[in-house]
Amino acid sequence: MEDSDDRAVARPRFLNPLAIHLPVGAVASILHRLSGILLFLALLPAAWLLSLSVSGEAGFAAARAFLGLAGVRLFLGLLLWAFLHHFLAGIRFLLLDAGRGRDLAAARRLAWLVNLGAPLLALLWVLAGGWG
Amino acid sequence: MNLLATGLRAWVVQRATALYLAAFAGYAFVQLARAGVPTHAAWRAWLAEPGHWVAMALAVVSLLLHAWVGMRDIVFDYVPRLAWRLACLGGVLLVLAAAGLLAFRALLEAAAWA
Repeated sequence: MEDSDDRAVARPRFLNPLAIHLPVGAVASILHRLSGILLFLALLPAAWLLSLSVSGEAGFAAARAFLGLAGVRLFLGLLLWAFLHHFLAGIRFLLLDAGRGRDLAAARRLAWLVNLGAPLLALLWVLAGGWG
Repeated sequence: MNLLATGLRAWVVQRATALYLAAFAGYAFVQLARAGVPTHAAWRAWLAEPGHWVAMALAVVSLLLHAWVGMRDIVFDYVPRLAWRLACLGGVLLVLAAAGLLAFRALLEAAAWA
């Protein structure tokens, strides 16, 4: 107990987030949460667009026109990434729940696949003219 | 149902809705890719099919439950002060209620077409 004061002194005084090296699984997990928040924020606009799209021919055209706006497209690209990451990372979590890919190497490989796969697929979709 | 849906029940709700939403998203993606340029008539015809309508309604309910459990977890993890926590949970509930109402009003409107 006598050296507890020394140890207290040696503790870091402030947190430098840049000095923290996160393992790849932690990145996948944090992005899973972040993408979940983004998707939650998209729920109300999405519900509004749904109700607009069923309100009639004019409403449907208005919803399409809104989704075609350049600024909206930018958000849609971000949401597409958020959805893909949430989808892929969610499948990874379900696999881990089911006891698959639990050894460290496999879990890390899957995490890399998710973290890189989501932005790649989103980019591919946009480049392939998926927005129509 | 317990509004806070804590513990094992929340865990099960999160996974079950995740499985359904993943399957629905996969199906919707294939349908969307096949449909080509979306038109009002095609959208109407798609939603007028009872199977699609039921699948949509289930997706809306799943999405609301899934979003509630997820946002609840995040609020519990990062908002320690009780007053702030309750305010955040209230805000989440309000957003989900508004989105749910809009979505179900839209689905009821679409049901009248069939």
